[in-house]
Amino acid sequence: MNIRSLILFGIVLLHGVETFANDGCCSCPECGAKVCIAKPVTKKVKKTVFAVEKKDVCIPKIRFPWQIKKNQCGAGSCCQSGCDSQGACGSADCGCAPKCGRVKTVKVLKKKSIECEKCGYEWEIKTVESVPCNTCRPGLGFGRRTGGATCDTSCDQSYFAGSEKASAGKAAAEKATSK
Amino acid sequence: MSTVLRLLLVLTLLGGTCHSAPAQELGFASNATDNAFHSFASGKSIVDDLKEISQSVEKNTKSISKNSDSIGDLKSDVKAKVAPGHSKASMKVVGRVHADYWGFPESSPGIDALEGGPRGPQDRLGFRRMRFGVRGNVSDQMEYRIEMEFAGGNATEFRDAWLGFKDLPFFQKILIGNQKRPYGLDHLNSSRFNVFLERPFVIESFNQDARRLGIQSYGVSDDEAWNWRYGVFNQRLIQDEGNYTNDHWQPEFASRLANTYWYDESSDGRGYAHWAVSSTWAFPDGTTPADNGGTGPDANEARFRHRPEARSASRWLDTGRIAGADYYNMIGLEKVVNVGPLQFVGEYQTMMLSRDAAMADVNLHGGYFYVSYFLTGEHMPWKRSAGTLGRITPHENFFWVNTENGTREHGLGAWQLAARYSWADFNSVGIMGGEAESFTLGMNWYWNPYARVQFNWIHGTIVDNGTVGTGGDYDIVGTRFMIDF
Repeated sequence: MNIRSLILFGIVLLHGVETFANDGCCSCPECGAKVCIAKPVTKKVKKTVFAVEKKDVCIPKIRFPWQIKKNQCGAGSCCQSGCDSQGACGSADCGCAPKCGRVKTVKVLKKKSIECEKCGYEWEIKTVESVPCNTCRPGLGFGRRTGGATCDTSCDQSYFAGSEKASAGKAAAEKATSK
Repeated sequence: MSTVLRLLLVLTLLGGTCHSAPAQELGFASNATDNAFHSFASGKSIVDDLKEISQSVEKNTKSISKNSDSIGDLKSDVKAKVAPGHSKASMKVVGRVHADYWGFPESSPGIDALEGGPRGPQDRLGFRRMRFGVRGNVSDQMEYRIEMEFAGGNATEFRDAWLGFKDLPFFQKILIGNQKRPYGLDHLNSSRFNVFLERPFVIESFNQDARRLGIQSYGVSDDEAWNWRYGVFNQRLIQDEGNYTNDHWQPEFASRLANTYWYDESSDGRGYAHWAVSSTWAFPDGTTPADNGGTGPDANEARFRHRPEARSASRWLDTGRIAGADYYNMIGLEKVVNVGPLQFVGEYQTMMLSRDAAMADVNLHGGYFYVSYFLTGEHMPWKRSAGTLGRITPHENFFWVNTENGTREHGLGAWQLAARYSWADFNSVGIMGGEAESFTLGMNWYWNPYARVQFNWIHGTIVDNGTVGTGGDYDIVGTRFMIDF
């Protein structure tokens, strides 16, 4: 296929798209047709965040073997009389009491789950009920170019089943039919 | 309608509502009964009461429905989880991944002759360990463990594979299957907790890959000051074969007695000291000449060899199968002293191998000593029941995050430095396994109790391996990233 044919094909293709886009009434949905309507919603999105807390931990001092005596329960043992702060207890020697250790401050990572709000859309399927089938209404999102203006891509919710405008429109259409 | 009838009707309706589900568990508004009585007492109409009850029922019905969905989701999640084959068994999944890099920046020609030729030993990058297994209990007194090793690519092997009894009279615990032989502290320690990347010369050589098929008893005293293990094993390493076939069973009888003579409970074990003695009597099948040169299941298991405490391609210390080996006896001594972040560890093992008549007995021996220190103040925990190192817990885990406040925070983890001297003499009466000496500097960075990175730099010498005058010096660097679960 040569260049000229390619260009011709492209023009035909674009024209077809434009025709489709500019065909005001042919693009309107027929009564009873189902369309997807976007409804803006606020969505809640879970997000993981981190926080850091400080915590104090003990680093105990060590007692060497000569500083420890066996604490076995029995007569005269530390279990019965208990130890005082110096580590001695009545007739039984508990050995040296543990010395004070040092304190170290450390960081602890905390993981939390929070909810953030995010804009999004939910899609609903609605039935076209009240739009007169031979005209286009503005805002139905079916691309009607007018003097170079761009299409309004929003859907007018009022023309779909369940709305008051839909009911009024339906009544008007029925009245027109009965005449 | 009479007052009594109204009261009876309200009570009947309320009884049906309130007893349909436990109010507290499902978060019901539990004051429907009170409200009904109050409205009755205040003279509200029965219609109002019924309206209220109806609204309450509708609200509670929605709550039941929501909770039912949650219970349904929970049931699905529980079903999707792995479960043991029958209800009498418990199961825990275990595993570890060790990813290594090994570099050989310097080696003398004598070392190049051992491996790599003129180019010398080549760098290595890959998985040292990739294990996945299960363990658990079957009934009240039985336990099991199966662990597979996948780091060999297509060559899958097993490691621990045993079943056993616990809480037995006298024996306490008996395990039957592939398990670690009871000598060499550095081998009995898990690779998850060892301070250096690879085991020392003598520890690995006398107990290559540690595990053998056998039956072993494990015991510990009530105060955990003493622990012991003893058992009988087949000497063949079958983790890549699955079974042993030979009328000569090549058995060995091995044991270890360990004593933690100091353990400072008040500091949660930051101070402790241990000593142990271990031994083995082994009877290899070395008297048949064909067994000494072969690799089949009847091959003579009196062979002691090791890599240069690094993951080289080949083993640089190697006695070969010692011809005429009849039996050997090995004795090992262990010593550990830990004072807070500082730890000293040493071992020595010596082996006397008796050969057939007219062949001289062989003596091989070696040992190591290391010191380690935690810069961040932690200590190496000690498992008294087993007489081995335990899992290190950093005071502060390593992390690096952006916080919700927009700042960047980090945690240090635990940092440890270590230095080891190791030696082995495997030359004796014509057996030329080589003489080795090495010095290793190590650095460990523990990210959390389950993951760390290790770095080793080794400078060593191996001489007279195979022939007098062979060997040389080498420098090796190694890095390992590991995680276990």
